[in-house]
Amino acid sequence: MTDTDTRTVVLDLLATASGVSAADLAALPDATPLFGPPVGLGSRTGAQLLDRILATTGVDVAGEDLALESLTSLGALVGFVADRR
Amino acid sequence: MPDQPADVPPADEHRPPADAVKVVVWDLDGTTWDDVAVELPDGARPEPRPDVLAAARTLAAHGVVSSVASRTDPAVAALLTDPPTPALAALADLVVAPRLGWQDKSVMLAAIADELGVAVGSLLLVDDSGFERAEVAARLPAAGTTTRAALLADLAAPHPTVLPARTSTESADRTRRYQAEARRREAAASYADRDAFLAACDLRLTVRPATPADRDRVVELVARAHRLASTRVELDPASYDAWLAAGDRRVVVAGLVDRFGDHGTIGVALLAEGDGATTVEGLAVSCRVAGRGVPGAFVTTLRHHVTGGALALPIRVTSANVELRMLVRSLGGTLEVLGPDEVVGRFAPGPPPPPPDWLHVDDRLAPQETP
Repeated sequence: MTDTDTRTVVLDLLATASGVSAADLAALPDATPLFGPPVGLGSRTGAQLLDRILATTGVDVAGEDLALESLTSLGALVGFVADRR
Repeated sequence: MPDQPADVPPADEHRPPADAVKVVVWDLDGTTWDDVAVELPDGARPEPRPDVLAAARTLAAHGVVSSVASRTDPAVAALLTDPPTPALAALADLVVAPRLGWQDKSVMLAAIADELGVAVGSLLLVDDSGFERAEVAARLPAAGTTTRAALLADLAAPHPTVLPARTSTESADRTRRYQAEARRREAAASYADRDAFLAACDLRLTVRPATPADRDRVVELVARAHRLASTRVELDPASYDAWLAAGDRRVVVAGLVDRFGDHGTIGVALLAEGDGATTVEGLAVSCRVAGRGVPGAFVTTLRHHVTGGALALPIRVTSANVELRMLVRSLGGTLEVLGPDEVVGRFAPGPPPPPPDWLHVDDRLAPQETP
């Protein structure tokens, strides 16, 4: 699977968790933070997102990234998942 | 009834460890009542067994809620939603998140755990059908299974294993609180916008110093919370007193009320001062209030009472508490990794973020009581 495919998968899962459409997410720059607007991820929705990423891609973000640095931005999360697939 | 799976284990009961049961899930036909509801003549109603009602009341008084999983015509649910007899009304009054339909029991139990926000391992199915117990044991092995007779015998024993070793004065209200939560979900479904629903809930969070009267609830909350819990401290009433006496320490609790009712004490923070810094040695927030900005507002309120807003929150990482790490990051904090299952959440000095618009915070931490 290519990095582009991974990005599409992560954005789809993020759309489900955040309520922001995948199309709107795709238009955001990689540096966009996940917490706070416009994505607005919270603690509960963030945990749900990592559950779905694990179920869909097999990448255990919560287990492999204890500091959750991969949640600092959209690009960081996509990159983290892409590097481990 | 589906064909029996080839790998069904023996239909022995499987009891979760002591103190683990939060929800007892009752089968109906042949367990809660002796009849089969859909086979009764027109106008006849099943009669819940008095010993089952008494058992459910005992469980509720100790904070163990009752649910229902019954493989039957979904229309039988009307016996609980609009109970036609006093005995059925008594049963309905004790039940939360019932599941009635033709799904497998394992599927129903998973749905009940999801709705109540508890782990599957905290469920105990009471079912006099060996097939149903075996189906759950095979497909949802974390859940416990037992028979009505075995459960009643356990409750009649001097030290029932199904009951928690300790309860607080709030434990007996747990069934009511889950029922209020069901009303919240029903109301939320009528709002297209979640923020608008939350604004209409009149959510009021009170943060105050704990008093001696809070001790049992603090101990209980630290033991029961998993998703939003730092899980580094194990407390019983004696060790709680010893912890408090061991240094410059304070306990802060949070309570939540909304227009649907009183959630009771939903959060606790064990705070210790040392080397000019404040450490949250234990943090536990009830999962019942997740998803409405409450845990974040609780931590933020604590930061208002710490010099410069700097706060350290050590966390023992488990598979269940990723939400707490996520909370630290969502509030602008960082996580320092100390070991394979140890991190410290750190909030740098600076003004904490305001609570969400829909949440009113009543901060009762007076200066002389602050950490």
